[in-house]
Amino acid sequence: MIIAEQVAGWLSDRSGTHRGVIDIFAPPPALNERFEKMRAWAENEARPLVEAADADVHTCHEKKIELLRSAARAGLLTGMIPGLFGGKGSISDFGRFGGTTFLPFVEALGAVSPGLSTLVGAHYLGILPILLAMDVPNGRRLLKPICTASPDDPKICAFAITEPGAGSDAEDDEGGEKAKLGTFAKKVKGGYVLNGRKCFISGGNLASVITVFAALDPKLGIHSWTCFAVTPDMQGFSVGRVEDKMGQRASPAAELVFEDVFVPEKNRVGRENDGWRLNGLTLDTSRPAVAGIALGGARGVLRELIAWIEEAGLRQDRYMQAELAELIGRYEAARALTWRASGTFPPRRDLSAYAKFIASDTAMHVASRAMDLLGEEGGLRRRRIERLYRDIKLTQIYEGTNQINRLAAMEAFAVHGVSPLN
Amino acid sequence: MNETGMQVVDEELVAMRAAFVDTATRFAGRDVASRVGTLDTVTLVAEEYATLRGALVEAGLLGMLAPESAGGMGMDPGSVGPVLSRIAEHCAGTAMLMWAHESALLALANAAAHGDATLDDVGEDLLGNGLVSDHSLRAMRRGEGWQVNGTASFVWGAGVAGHAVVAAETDEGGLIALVPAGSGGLRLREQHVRIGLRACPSASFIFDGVKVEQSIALSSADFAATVSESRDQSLALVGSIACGNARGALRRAVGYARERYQGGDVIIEHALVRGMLGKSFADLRAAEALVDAALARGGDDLVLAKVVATRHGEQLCLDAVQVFGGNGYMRDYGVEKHLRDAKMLSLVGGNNDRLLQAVVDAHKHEGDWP
Repeated sequence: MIIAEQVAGWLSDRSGTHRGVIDIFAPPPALNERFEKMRAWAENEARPLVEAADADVHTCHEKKIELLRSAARAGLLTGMIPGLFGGKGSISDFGRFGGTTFLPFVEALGAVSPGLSTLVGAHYLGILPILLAMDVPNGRRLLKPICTASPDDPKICAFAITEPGAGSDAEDDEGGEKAKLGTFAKKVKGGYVLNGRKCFISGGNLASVITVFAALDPKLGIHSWTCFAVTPDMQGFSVGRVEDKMGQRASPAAELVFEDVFVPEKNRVGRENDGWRLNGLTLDTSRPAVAGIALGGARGVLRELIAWIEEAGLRQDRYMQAELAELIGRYEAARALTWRASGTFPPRRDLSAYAKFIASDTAMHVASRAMDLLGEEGGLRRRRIERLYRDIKLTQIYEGTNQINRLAAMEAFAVHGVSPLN
Repeated sequence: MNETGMQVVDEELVAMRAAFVDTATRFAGRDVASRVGTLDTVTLVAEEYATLRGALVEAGLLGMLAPESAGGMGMDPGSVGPVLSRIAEHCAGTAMLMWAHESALLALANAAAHGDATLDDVGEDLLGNGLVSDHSLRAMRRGEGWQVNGTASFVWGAGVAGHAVVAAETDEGGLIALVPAGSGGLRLREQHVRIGLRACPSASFIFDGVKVEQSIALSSADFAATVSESRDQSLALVGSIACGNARGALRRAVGYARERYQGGDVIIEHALVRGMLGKSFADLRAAEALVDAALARGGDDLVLAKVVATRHGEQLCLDAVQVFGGNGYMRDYGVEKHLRDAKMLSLVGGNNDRLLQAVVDAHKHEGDWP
C-alpha cells in the first residue's frame, strides 16, 4: 500500500476522534480537579440560586448571601488566593500560566450565569491590586481572615474605581487626564482621610476588604491616584444605594460613601501616586477575564440553543445548521483571542482590550441571534437565554465600555507609535 | 396611490391622523409615562389594567380599527401605526396591549370583508390576539356553533383581555373566532414571563372542546387570505411600535449625551458616541419610512417592514444603553427597558428570518418580486 493511502486510511479511521494536539482551552493540569469540582458546583448548586436571585428583586440579596456561602463551602473564594496569603492558589502558577489559571473558571461560571461569574470574579478583582503591587504585608494581614473565614460567614473583596462623575474616565489614559475626580485622600498623621463616593461597585455592599482608588492631590488628579484597602468597619464608611439592574442580579452593584474615613498608612496598597499604573495593570489583567465571563455566557446560550434544536427536531434543518455553525464559529474565534490575551504575562493592554470587546460583542450577538432562532419562545424566562442576554449586556459596559476598550487598545499605537500588529 | 404609483394626498386623512397622533402624544405623556414602572413587572396588577383601559376609552384610543358601524372609529392601519408609535416612545408594552386589541379587530374586519358577514359591536372589552403566533387550532361543527380543539402558543393580551381572537381550521376552510376568556374547556398552559413588553401579558392555551358562539366562517381561500392579511398588517404595526420604542431610546440617549461629561467634555462631542447616534438616526429614519410605506401600500412590504424595524430597533437600543454606560444598565434610567422591549418586539410573530423566507416562498414560482 502506498504511503498516501495508508495516511488517508489512518485519518478516516480516526474521524470523529479528534483531539487537540495542544489543548489551549484547558486549565493548567494542576488545577483540573478543582476545575471539575467548581463546574459541578456551578451547575448543580449555584444555578437554582442564580435563577431565584434573578427572578425576584426583593429576595435577591438573601440569595446572593446563600450563593457566597455555597461558593465558600466549595472553596471558590480562596482557590485563587496565593498560599503566601493563606489561600490555595499559587503565585508561580500565575507567573507561568498568566490569566489562564482563572480563565476556565470564569468561563464555566459564566456558562451558568455571567452574574455568578461576576460575583466570584469581582472578589478576585478586589484582591488583584494587592497581588500586582506585590504587597505582601497587606496580603498576609488582610487576606488571611478571608481565607480562614467560616463558610457560614464568607468574606469577600471588592475593587472600587468608578465614580459618579468618572466612569469611562477611569478606564483609559486620555480620559484619565481630564477626569472629574470626586474621591480624594488627604495625608494626615498615621495615615490618610478619604472623602468621596464610588458607584456600581460589584460586591461592594458585601465586601470585607475594598481596594479603593483616590487622588492625593486635586491638582495632579489621576497622577496622584493611590490605592487603599478599606474595611467596612472604618468610621465614616457606608454603603449607599444598591442598584436594581437589568441583569447580572446574582452580583450586587453598590454605591460606597466615604465621609472622613481614616485609613491607616499600613492599609495603603503599593506606593503613593502609583494608583493609575496599578489600576491599568489590574484592568489589563482582568479584561481577558471579562471576555471569559462573556464567552461563558455565550457557551450557556449555545447549550440552550442546541437543546432547543434537538427538542424541536431541527437537527437536520440546513438553515438551523448554518446558523449554529456561524455562531459557534464566531464563539471559537473570540475564544482563541481571549485565551491568547489571557495567556500573555505580563498582560498586554491592546490584547486584553481586543479580547474584552470582541468577546463581549460576540457573546451579545450569539445571545441575540439565538433568541431570534427560537422566535417568541426565545423571549421567555424558562428558556434561560433571555437571562443570559440580559447578563451578557453588562460585559459590553463594565471594565470600560467597549468603545473605551477600542481606544485603550490603540493607545500604544497612537501615543507611542508602537506597531499595533506586534 | 394613483395609476402611476404616486401617493395621492388625502388632506382629510392627513388631518385626522395628525389629530390622533396629538391625542396619542398627550395620552402617552400623561397616562402612560406615569404607569411604566407598575406595568413593567411580571405580576399582573388587575386594577392598573382597569384604569388604563378606562383611560384609553376616554381618550378615544381603543377600537380605532373597528368599523364605525361596530362602534369603532373606522381608522385604517396606516393611521393607527403612528398612534402606537407615539405610545411606544414611552412604553412599548402598553402600545403592544393596544396592538393586541386593534390587531384582533383587524382580523375580525378582514374576516367580515372576505366572508361577507357582519361584525357585531364587540363593546369596550380589551381583546387579545392569538392569531399572529403559532397555533394549531381546529374547529368542528357542534349544533349551531363550533367547537375548537388544539393549542395557541402565544395569545397577546391574555390575562387582561375579555375575549381573544383566534383562527381555527375547519373541514371547509376556517373560521375567525371571538373566544371569551372564561370559556369552558379553555385551559391556561402557561402565563408567560418574558424579557420585555411586560405591560402586555401573554399566555399559551390549550383548547379542549371550547364552544365558540361568535365567529366568521370562511372558505379555504378566504380563510388563508384573511389570516395572512391580518397577520401581515399586524406585523407591520409591530414595526410601528419598534420605531416608537427606538425613538424613545434615542431621545433618551441624545439627552444623556448632551449632559454627561467624560474626558473633560460632554460625551456627544466624542467621535464614537456621535458615530453611534448618527447611525441610529439613519437606521431609525429608514425603518420609519419603510413602515409608513408598507402600511400605505400593503403586500409583502408589511412583513419586510416588521423585520427591518425590529432589527434596527434592537441595535439602536443596544447602542443607546451603551451611550449611557453603567447608568444604562440600571433600571431607573429607563433605557434598559427600551432594549428589553426591542428584543421582544423582534420575536413577535416568530423568527424574523423565517418570516423573510416565507416572503420569498410566496414568490418562488410566480408573481412579482417585492
